Amino acid sequence: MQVPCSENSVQRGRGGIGIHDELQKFLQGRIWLRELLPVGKEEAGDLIREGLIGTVPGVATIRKWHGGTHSRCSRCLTEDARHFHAFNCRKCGKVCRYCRHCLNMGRVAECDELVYWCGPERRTACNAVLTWEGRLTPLQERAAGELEESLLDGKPHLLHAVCGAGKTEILFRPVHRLLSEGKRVCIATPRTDVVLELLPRFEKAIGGTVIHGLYGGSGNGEGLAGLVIATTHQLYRFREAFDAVIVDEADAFPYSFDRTLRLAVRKALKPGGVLAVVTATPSPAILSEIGREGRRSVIPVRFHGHPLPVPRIVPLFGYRKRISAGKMPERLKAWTEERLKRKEPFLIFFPSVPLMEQCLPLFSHLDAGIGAVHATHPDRRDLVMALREGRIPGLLTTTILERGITIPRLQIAVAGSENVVFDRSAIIQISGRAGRSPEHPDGDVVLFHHGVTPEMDAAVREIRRLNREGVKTIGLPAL
Amino acid sequence: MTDRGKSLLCPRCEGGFVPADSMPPLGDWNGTPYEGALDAAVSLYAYNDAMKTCLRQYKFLKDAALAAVFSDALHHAEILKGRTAVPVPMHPVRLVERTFPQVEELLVQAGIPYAPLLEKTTALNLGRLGRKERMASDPLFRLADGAEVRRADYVLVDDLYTTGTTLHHAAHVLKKSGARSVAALTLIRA
Repeated sequence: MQVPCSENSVQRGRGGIGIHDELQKFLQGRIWLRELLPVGKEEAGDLIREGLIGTVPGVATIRKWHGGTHSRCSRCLTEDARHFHAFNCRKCGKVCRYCRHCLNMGRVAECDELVYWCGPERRTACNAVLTWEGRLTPLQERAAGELEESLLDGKPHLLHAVCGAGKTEILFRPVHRLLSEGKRVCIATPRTDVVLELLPRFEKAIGGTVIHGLYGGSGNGEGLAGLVIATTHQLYRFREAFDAVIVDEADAFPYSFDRTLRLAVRKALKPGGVLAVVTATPSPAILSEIGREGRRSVIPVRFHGHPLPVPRIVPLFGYRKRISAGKMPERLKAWTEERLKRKEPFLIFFPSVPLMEQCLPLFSHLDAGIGAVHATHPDRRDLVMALREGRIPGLLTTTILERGITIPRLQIAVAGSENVVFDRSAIIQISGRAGRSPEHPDGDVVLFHHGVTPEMDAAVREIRRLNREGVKTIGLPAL
Repeated sequence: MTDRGKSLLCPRCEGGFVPADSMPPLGDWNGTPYEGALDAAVSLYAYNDAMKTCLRQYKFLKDAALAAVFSDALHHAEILKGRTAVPVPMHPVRLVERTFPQVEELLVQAGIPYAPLLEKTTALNLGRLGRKERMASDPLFRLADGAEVRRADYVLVDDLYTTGTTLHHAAHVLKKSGARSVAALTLIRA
């Protein structure tokens, strides 16, 4: 509603409260470009004068120990000189720098102001109900208990669970507990696909609270959310917002590579807030994030108790040459034909988009239904859905589908597993796509390679180790 | 050992830009008061998805750094040779919103000297109007204060040629003030 510009102070006051209320719900915990605020310029100015909204310059100049200066974006916290561009600004009339690192969220320049809510804090409602009625396995039960305890004690926690251990179910109870104490919780993940998968599951499992799903291209959500499920990039837009942040799939690109994303998670935490990390393949960076006082729960077996499929390593020497010559490598062809004959859905991972597109016509010869997906593919979601529903026999893919995809009886091949993109954690994640349903707990995972790499060996070793540990914990026969 | 002379874009992004396949149709303006205002018109690129993305980032996300992407192409544009470049101006209100003059910035980055002879009279956005309304709109430009148009050859520079309203209006003002010929160079032919 537009507030009429009138001299009547009573009317203005009343209108003001309505705006305060709506704006606070929006802005509390966020850090936002002043010019993109959902209120008029005058109202924003009034609120800043009243001290309800604080401001910081968009790009700060930091003095270094050696006397030089450098820039830091107040939103994404990057300090890399390559991320800043200076230009002759006609708004402030000076040479002005802006951040190109978080440009897509609206440009932040030196002469822009970022605003945040610094008035009285509004608590979220405490009436969240756990409507999830599934049961946890004893191992999940233990991990959920440990995670809940850490979050309540304010201790960082690492949940190391193999692919298919049922990580999301483990989160339900601890998250519900925090929400019912009036705390704000965020589940952050590097991948949009994971946000899209988690959001409906949490909406079904936890009622009576506002849940927002935020990713590039989503809206901003209405009202003050108790639970925010967001990509780690979206946390650039938060500041001292959450009592707990749980980073899911923390080993996924780009979280482990981009320092600013890890800083963003820290920035989104309230002072004294607690960080938990969930992953199937903890990297040294993740371990250091949890630190020494952090606690750790490990789940080495899948929820159905069957061991993880161990990848087979099969040579496919000179496959690039053959593919360039327009011929299908024999072993890959035989494997695909076998899957087609048995009508098993399959995924074949490729190291790069050009190689995959070169291969697609060769596969189309075997079956015209075989499709290919990559990150910028327009009908990526539809093709994955078609595979799930059995409308197409299989898909060629880049590492974009390495996580978050669950299809019964899925069979996996990696073409060119010697490539650097298939590191230890990628291979473990890819192998984790097979055998996820209790009815079909095993699946074929093949690494077709032009030379074995240490990463492939390390992945196989790690999967075997987890399987051994799993046998110890529940006493199932080893593979 | 330097990056001088190298493209700012990776081959893949650059490959997305395709040269314009047709020149702007000046004949559309025959029979209007603006007939013959423009003597020639050239566009460098077609308005495909890659170009749309690029222009959106440049203009709406205000990524001024992208001005340098087109330096080379502008530098080699034949039509600029022997003519004085005149950038199509923005309205002062719009300029403060955008924080940089998008057309001038292209010329600055390309190192092409230019004469700011024109001034925009309206803050109206042509992008919101239909083709007919555009072609029939009131004069959009006037001569800037103290600007002196000589009996010389000018070339107007703009980012987009859609219906050509902007350029015909601008050319009309220059012609009226005594320009010998007025050509137009646009980055993109929409």
